[in-house]
Amino acid sequence: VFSTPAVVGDVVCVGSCAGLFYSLDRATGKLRGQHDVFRADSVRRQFHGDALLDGGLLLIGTDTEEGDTAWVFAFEPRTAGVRWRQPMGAGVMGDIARWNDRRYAVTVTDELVCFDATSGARRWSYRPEDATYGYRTSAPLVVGNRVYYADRAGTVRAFAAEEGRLLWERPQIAPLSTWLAYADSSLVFMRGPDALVRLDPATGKERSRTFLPGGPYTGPMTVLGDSLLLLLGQTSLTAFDLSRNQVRWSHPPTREWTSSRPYTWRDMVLAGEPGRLIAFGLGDGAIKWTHALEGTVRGIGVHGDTLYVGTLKGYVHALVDSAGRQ
Amino acid sequence: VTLGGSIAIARTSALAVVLALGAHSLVAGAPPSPQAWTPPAAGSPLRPIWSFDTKG
Repeated sequence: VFSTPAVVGDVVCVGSCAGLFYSLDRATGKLRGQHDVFRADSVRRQFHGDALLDGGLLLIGTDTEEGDTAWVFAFEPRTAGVRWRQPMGAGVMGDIARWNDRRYAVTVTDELVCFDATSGARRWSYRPEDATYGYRTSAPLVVGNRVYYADRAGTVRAFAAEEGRLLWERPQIAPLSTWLAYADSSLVFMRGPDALVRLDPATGKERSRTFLPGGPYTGPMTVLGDSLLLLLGQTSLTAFDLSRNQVRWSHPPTREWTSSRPYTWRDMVLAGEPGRLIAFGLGDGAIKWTHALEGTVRGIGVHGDTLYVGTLKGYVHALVDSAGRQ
Repeated sequence: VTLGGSIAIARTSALAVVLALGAHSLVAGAPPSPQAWTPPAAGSPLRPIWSFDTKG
């Protein structure tokens, strides 16, 4: 299981690497419903990205091999029934972003696609000249009425969210290692292994770059409040204070960090590695506790006192804080 | 190239990298290195309530 388990009401939903989308009773783990995206036509499709809760539905991408077709789905959480599905080339491995009645995703062939929130119908798209299939895992970023997207080669572009008009493009000197984030009134990302870069969202002009050790950092970053940026790579989990422009704390793993992004729960940051889930204090990075789990920790869903932890062995483990209500 | 020469080249390259990184860091105040690993402060407060096998 790569995707983060998503809690909606009294169910927890998760898509698997075997191409099944599950709806589970949140209290008992009992199966409420499932949908198979593989068996109907024997095209191997998998879930890797996270679901977006959108008007009571869960929007999530699937991905497949080059030349085959994968879809973005809108699932009914309580039954795992399909409200709609739309082909999206070879699919989507990253997150889906939203703006008004439009949704945005980056395909595994590095194409930015805007689609309708209620039907999935394609509205507009942008494909870089050198785009090729390659398990591209990224996500667009929406700020105001603009959507931002960085291609595999390292060019950051801004589009008008409504009609997809290109507003500016800024090639970078190296590809981005993380997804884009918005913080400190800037577009923020890691470029190469060690450069934290801020761009002016209006023009794309570089505002600053800061040497940040511990990289490469990958995937999504988590922004907290006005200035705290959480970054995760195989070798470091780092909290960076954007206002002071310095690392607040940073931790290497005992082996490698394997969770798909830095997760937060209460006043803690959660990260996983093979066989272990670890909680760090948000403020000082002190280790609060560790929890042994069979398998390699990947996605961590959070709801109230309970964590729903997916592992690469295919399990979803529900864990409750023993001091909590359940 | 001798072993000593290789080391010298490697040192020169490392210095070049350090200089490049210094020039690259336009904002003052390079952050500290990652902290060393320390043992956990306490055991887990979490209790398993169920597990589901997606077989994938």
